[in-house]
Amino acid sequence: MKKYSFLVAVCMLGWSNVNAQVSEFGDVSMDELTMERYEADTSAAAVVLFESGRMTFDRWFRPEMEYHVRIKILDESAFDHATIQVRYNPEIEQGIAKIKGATYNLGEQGEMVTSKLNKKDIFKEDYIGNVKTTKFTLPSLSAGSVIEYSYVKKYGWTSNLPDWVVQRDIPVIWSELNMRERKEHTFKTSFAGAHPFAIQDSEPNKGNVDHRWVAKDVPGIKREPFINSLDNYRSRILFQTESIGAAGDRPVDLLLTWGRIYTGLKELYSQAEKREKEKFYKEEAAKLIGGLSTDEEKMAAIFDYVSKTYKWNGAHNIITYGDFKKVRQKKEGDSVDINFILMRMLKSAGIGATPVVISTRAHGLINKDAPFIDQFNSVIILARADGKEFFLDASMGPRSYKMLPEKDINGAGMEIHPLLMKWVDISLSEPTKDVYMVEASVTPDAIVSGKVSASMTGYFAQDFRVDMNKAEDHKQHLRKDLFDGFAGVVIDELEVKDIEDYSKPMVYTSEFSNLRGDNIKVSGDFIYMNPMLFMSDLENPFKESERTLPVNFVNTFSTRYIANIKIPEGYEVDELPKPKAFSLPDKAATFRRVVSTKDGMVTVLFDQRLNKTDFPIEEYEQLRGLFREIVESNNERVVFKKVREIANEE
Amino acid sequence: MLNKVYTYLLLFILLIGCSSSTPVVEYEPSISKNATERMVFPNTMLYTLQGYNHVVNDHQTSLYVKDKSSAVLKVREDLIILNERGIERGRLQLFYDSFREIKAISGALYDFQGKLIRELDEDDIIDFPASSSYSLYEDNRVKEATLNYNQFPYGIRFEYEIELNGLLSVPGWYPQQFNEYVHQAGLHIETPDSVSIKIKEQNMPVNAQKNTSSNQRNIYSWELNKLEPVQHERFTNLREYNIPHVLLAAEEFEIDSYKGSFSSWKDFGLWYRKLNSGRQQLNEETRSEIDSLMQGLSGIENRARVIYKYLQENTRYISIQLGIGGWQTFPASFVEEKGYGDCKALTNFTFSIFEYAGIKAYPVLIKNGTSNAPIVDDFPSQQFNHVVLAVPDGERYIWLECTSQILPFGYISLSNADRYGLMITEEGGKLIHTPVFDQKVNYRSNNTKINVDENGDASIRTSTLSNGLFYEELLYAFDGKPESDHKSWLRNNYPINISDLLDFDASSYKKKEFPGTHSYAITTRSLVSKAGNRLFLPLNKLNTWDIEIGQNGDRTQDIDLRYTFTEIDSIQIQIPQGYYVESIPASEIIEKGFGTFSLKIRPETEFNTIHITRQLTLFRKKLSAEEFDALSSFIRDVKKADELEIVINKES
Repeated sequence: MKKYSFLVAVCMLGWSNVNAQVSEFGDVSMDELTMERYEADTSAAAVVLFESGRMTFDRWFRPEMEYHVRIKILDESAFDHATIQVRYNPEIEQGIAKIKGATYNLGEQGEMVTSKLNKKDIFKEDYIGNVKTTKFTLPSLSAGSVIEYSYVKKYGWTSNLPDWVVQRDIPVIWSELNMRERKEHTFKTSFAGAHPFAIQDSEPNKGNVDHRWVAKDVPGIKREPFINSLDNYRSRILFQTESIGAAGDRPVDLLLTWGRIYTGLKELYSQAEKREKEKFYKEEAAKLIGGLSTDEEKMAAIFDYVSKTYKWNGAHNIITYGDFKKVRQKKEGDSVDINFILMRMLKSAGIGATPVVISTRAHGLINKDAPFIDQFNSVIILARADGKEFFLDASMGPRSYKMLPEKDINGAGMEIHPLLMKWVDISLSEPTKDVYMVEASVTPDAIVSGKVSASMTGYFAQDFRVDMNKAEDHKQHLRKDLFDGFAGVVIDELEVKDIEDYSKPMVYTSEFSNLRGDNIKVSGDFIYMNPMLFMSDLENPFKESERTLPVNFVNTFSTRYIANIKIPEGYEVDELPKPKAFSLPDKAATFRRVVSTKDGMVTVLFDQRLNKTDFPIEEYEQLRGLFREIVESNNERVVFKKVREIANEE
Repeated sequence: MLNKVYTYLLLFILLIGCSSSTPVVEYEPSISKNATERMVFPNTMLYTLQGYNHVVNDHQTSLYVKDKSSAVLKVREDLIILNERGIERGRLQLFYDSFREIKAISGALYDFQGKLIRELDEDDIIDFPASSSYSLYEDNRVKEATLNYNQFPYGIRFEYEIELNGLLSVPGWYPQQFNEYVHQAGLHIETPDSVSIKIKEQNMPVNAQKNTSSNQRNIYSWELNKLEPVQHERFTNLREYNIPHVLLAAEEFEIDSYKGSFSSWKDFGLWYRKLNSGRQQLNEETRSEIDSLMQGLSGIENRARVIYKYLQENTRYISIQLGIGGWQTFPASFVEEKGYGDCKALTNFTFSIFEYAGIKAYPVLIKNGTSNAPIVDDFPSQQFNHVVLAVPDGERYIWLECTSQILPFGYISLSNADRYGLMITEEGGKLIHTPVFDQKVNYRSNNTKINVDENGDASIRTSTLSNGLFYEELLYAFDGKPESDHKSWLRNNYPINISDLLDFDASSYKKKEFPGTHSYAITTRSLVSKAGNRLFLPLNKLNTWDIEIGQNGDRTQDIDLRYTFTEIDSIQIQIPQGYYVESIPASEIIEKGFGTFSLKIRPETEFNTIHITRQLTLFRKKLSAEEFDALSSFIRDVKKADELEIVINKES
């Protein structure tokens, strides 16, 4: 061991990289100080001049990162970049040390004024649980300051090293990572994100390899609506330990493969299942499935019970040792606790059920090129009943077993089947759809009354049911949901079906009267009316004309609205909106609206469908345009005109 | 940036002062370690019929004062959770810091028969910093205990005990929250003869109090029964007006061996001044800089303006609060060295500069925020959470909010405006009213030109002048942000969808002067509705009165119209050639004691132009609950008028 640490020291001394961009701490140039804007992005409130990481390892192969960053603050709105918080868990890592920081300002005579970070101004705070926070803020900040800080972050032993993320909310001119890969400790690397690494050098050095990666002129990245996780788009390097072995020894192969991860989880989960006796689950399940005949019914009953009984504590997790006594007592647990209880009850009822490890939307898409276990963060259940497959997550409260929570819809997951590893596409068992049928009549005072029947499935049904069950009463919810914007409307009758049964389509029928709206009006001999009634206030969700990230919807959906509106007594149709139909290429999204008249009725048919979930940037303008057409069409009116009764004119 | 102040203030208000190291007081038996097996469970049928989501079955608070610098607070609360919507009430949050120590928390969950299900354990409690992301370090923390169950109804008992190390701030007694029924509640206070406690009952029924004394100890107690739920209504000043509560303060207090008194505002001011004295020394560099800045300047306003600019350019707001530091400012040298500080430090630094420049200035303690209750002005006690600086200039004061890099010189900001503050003078504290933000200050005028073509496409050009709260809102949206953010802001806040944003100019907001102006030009296809050849032009879709007002007839509380305003819209619509006006709404005027609205519509047929002028003013007034219907119908009438449309049609 002694010999080994000596080796490290020698290596450190002999290792230096010369480059133009990264400079020594304090070596701030006048150009940096006098810089007034960043030409490549003149809207940037701050820009990272450079950031540099130097990864080394101690004798126990624990990584240590020397981090150094210099940022130009162009505007006071970027002051937050001068306050740094690093969280760490002392049980597994050591946090940051050797903190240095300084602010550089231009003095009155054009000289550089340096204000150093005082050691006393570095604070350590207990965060939640064992986690600690180290916090500091740089002094004497003003618009135009250059700030700089460096520290050493020590990690605990880890087989997968931290990602080197180069893209953040402000632009980065130069991001550089240096790492020495020793023959005793080898890695695999992979890349993610759209911005390329301009320099990727690997130089052999006495049996080791020195790596250098540089990304230049990386633009800032901003959150936009309809994306899964912003992290999916950040450019970064990912590492994975391949093998470890002291000099001369045979290296230990540590390279994780998906196969190894699968085997590990399978072992863990099978141990977990053995920990608690099956008897309890069997008894619980028996109470729920008595009298039910099909497996799907049994599965639905068990899912309904678990999702209504157990409360999620807000944590995602994939690790479990199978001790659920406390969870069962408190009726509360994390995602793996609750779903394992569900799985065990399903199995006790004779329904095939296996865990599927996934990455939730906020946790980012799974990169199959980089087999790391922490790409997964949650567990759901794949149940097989009556020859069909259902993905179940009972941790999000009462819901339909056909609809996974949105947060779980994020590409593929890995099924931890006892026999073989399998990537499965997470899918929903029911389309998201709603249909509204309206029968309405209009008085000569432009007051509408009638009947609306709605039928929803998928997320439309799920969300509506949850909200309606939360509301003080059903009518109140309908007033807020459907009749929003029609203040005086009276709901005369409301019939709601299966409000507690989340797996059924959500169906209701409501009779209403006294509906008046700003788009239903009388003027002289005319009545102007928007026949879309409560569908008239749709908004285009895509407000921005520019888009930098692809659009991702959680699910496809369709909406139909059919209305039969009686022509008011003594009136005739003067004008009708023209039929409209639009479709994106390959029918990725479509929209159709026809207004016609027949037998004293005006009939409206509106049909909107989203048939795919992912739209690349090039398709953004079309997609936005389609929504604009819908909004515009829904704004059009029917004109009724008073019939002149010639006979009476004399 | 203001948010900083808000968040911080919320926390600051929780600070409780006082000296250390007095042994634990003798008081009633402490909280038992083990929960009782049973809890008295009421018949919940009636509660459910009433539509309640939870009820407080019993709430008992006891305060045992030992001496001028220590007291123990004990609370026991029995809650009945009736359904899903009541679950949130089962979360208890207790704030603590170096002056306020949580000695014990216990809790237990009971089923509908009152049988113990389980006790609160370590896993049910989380402990986290109460500080906001803008703070660098604060010693305020929160313990949060949560008890949940899925079979309704269920019962929760929380018991906790807090030791107050000092009586600078004695928490008031609030046994009821909004929208909850309280079956019974009691407050019990014991003080030794040597400590006198000031008490102010608010909204309490008569005869609720029973006082006794024995053994050199004074006992005050209150009992309340069957408190009906109180709804939160709009345009009120919150629970202080409607919910029974008792305010408490020590006549004399001691914090970190600084003795003070609440016998008058004057005395409290003296204490604050003394606590913060001797911290105004500026270094040579600052002094010479101020000297050179002041050179050739005369008049208080001119000099104050330069000092404020100096402050804004050289400092920023960062909160550090430790122990007495919640009350005592960092010295001016701290801000000189680091360029940052909290509200006390930054105000003190500015104060020091004024003092050095020979200009009188006074720190003014403020209860900051737009939605909290006003200062109880006849009850000197700790009610503040912020400090600003007032500079007398002849008859008036120049108000300086020292924590902001954004606000213009002399701008008090909405969250400090129109309320009592405590001015700290040489002679002690003095209540002073900060400037009012009413319809004379809060005004906005929009000048809009709309061009409509035959397809119903519209191009809109608007220029807006904003002052007061309208100005402030935009200042936070625009200041320090790049133009691309301004455009995004407009796209996302505009009442209709924008097709093309041709031009946007908010550069005036960089100048830190009010009123501010901004202008934009857009095209849109969502303004005009169509039906064949007819086009429907809304009178006012771009600046509607976005306010939700409750139903008529059920108003119980008086109305306080506080942040009132004036709006003037001048709109000129150009209609396409070959179109005629088929119908046009009539002009109208509504005049009420609390507001006026006028709408004038004037077509100019020869130029194909329609002129619309809209004016809306709400006056700063207090109205009785009975006047609510008149107010709500005024609002409805205005909204209705805003929805009117002009119909144009193609000439055949």
